[in-house]
Amino acid sequence: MAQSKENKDLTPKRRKFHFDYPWISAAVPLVVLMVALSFAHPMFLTTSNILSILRQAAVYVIMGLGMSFVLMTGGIDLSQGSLLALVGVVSAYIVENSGSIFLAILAGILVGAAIGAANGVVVSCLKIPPFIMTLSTMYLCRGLTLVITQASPIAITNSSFKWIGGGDLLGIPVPVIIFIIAAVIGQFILSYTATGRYILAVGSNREAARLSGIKTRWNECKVYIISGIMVAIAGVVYVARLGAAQATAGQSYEMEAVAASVLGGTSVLGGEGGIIGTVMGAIVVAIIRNAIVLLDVSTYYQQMITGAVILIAVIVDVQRKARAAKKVN
Amino acid sequence: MKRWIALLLTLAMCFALTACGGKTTEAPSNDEQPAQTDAAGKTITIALLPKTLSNPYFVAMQKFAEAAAASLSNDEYTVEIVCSAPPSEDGVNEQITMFESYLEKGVDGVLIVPCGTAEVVDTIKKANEKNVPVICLDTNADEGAEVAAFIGTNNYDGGFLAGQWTAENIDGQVAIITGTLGNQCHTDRNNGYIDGLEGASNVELVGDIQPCNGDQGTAMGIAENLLTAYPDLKCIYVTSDTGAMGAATAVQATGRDVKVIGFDGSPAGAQSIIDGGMTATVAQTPGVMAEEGVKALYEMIINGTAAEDMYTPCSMVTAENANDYLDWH
Repeated sequence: MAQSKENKDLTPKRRKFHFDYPWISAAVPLVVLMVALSFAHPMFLTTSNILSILRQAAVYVIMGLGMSFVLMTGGIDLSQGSLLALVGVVSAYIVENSGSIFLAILAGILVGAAIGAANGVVVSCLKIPPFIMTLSTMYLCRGLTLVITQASPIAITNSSFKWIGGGDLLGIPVPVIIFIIAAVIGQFILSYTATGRYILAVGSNREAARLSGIKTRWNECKVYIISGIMVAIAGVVYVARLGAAQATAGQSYEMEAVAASVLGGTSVLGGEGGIIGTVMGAIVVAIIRNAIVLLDVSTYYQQMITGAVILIAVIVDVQRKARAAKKVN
Repeated sequence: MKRWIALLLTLAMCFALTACGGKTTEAPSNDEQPAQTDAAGKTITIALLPKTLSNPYFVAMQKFAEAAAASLSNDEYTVEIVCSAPPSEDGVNEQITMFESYLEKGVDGVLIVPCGTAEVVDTIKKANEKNVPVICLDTNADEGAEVAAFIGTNNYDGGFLAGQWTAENIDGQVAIITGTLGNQCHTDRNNGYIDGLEGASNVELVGDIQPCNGDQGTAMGIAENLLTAYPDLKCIYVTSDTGAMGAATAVQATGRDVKVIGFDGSPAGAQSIIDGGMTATVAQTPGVMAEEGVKALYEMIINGTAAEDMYTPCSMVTAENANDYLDWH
């Protein structure tokens, strides 16, 4: 499978879909881990374990999708983890006090979009570096969440709301269905809309993009809004799954999202990236967590293994791209 | 022009900050004047430095300390609590800075829950030089400086209690999820638990100790992996209630009969026991710690009575007595 992709890669005519090449860096460890683990532990390849891995990966996948769009423009969104907590608290509060699930989700998504828009406007119009702006909103959102909750968790009793995080539809967990839909929409935006192409253009060469008539500011702003909305969806799934909203939730989750994106072949320098890769990247990280427990590996090694997998995948990916570039030249 | 706007905005921010900080800045400035005795009597200012205020456990400490201060105040002396804390429990450096600034401002006594047990020693030495008595609550500082007293849970004994309860009530496999790796409180809770299980042939400890870093979502993921890895698992011991609630959600989703034991005895944990989530928890008493701490400092400052180390009691909370633990003690 990997090889046929590589071949396609070299025939520019067929490079229509954007997931055509960057995702190999996540696909290789994914396949290797799947094969190795299915031999190593009899429980690994059971339906229930696979579904449980996917359910655990869901929040990271959705956040990673948002992060990928931001990374494609050469930016970063550090506010994701805090925003997750804020959205979770807002929707938990609304669903508990009004009982309306629709209202809770709507409010959550509006909060996510608003914070995303704030990030986007400041980054694109005031020329504040994304790292600094989203670092500020990271603190602002976390602080706001603590002010709202006064540090005590909000328990969710509404069982239909909890279904979003814990239920299934036709045997597939709802969070998994949600992340698949989010990925499909993300792929659609990236491959079939002008926005997708503009985002990549802005990321690879902002000046060239501006000179060719692309509204660089507006397109840069969009990615932060997309990120905010994705985080909002992830936040709703997160609190629905746990049945409680904590002010301290989601700390350092933005780094998990960066890891998933980078593992999936999205370049932190911008201009390149994919959706399928991010999905697989997040699943790889979830599989490592699962394997640590299944194989009874000492926990002290978990972060080292994750770090090593990301590093190797990225090195291999960069090498592969360099070789491909040489051949084209 | 732009610069002026920026300057104005910064000024506005500073004003806003001082407005927010009104409560905390007011207190120390109050005590500076009453340092010289006036007609209304003396004010004794006690600084409370919990690990963070984003955890309800420490918020309870603050409330109980304030209540104790109010009840100790009389015509002759007014006892006042000033309190600040880092945003999260690992804010070692921030906490030391706060500690130092309280010493600069001049307080009569300090109650601290050290974020870093080794790092705090030097600052306690500074307090010793200024003859400001320091009492450690909940977590003791390392050797090297003069701590007037330690008042807190014996985490080892608490873990031991949970271990004994497990040995009496569980037959089969048991797994442990801890807070943060390398945190002494959690290590003691693990060691106590393991020693409490000793000699019980009906219980088998499986897997390595997994860290959830106090994150409910992470704890839930680990619990799901444990449930897959060990189909005969009968019990999960989590060294915090926040984590235990996540594990309980995972257990409930599978519908298996796996008992979940927490640690803290938080109101949310007690509620979870009543709702059939968690099975039991080890109750700590942050309120008693704070009360006793304030009283001990008061005695030291007014009467010169030496304070003594004190272990606040731990108790097992189960469905039978969970109703009594819906508030912190």
